[in-house]
Amino acid sequence: MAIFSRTALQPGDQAPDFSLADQNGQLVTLSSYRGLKNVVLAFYIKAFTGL
Amino acid sequence: MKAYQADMAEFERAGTQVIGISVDSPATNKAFAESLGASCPILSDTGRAISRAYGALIPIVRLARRTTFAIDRQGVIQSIYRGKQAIDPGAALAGCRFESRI
Repeated sequence: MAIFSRTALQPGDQAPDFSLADQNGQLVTLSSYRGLKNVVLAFYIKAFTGL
Repeated sequence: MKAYQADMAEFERAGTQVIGISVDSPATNKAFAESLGASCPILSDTGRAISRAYGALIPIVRLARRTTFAIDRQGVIQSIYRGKQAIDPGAALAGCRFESRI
């Protein structure tokens, strides 16, 4: 078993949409950037860990 | 990493929003953002659903793995970077400019 789960997502796939709260409690929806901006979505393990 | 930087340059020319995401609470992310001086959105995926959908979840400890997705303005994933190839979130978030919220 791999330590990390492998995603089925590949370049060329549609990015799954989401709405999540930011650090100020404002909802951010990925699809609201469509047609307007590229998005760099950076998952990180945990704040303050440098990971 | 070089390829990533080249992609980033391309993205920056085209207008890009950097968004951070982790399983931390909004309060923790607020403190993190303030510690970095970051003004871009840092999202809270405490339910893990989005981290899971993106394959960015470490199963046993249920923390998000460092993974970067470059998504174009049509919502299509252009590049995926994992682990050491992924963006340094602290540097990226600290360096990102605030883009007006849509």
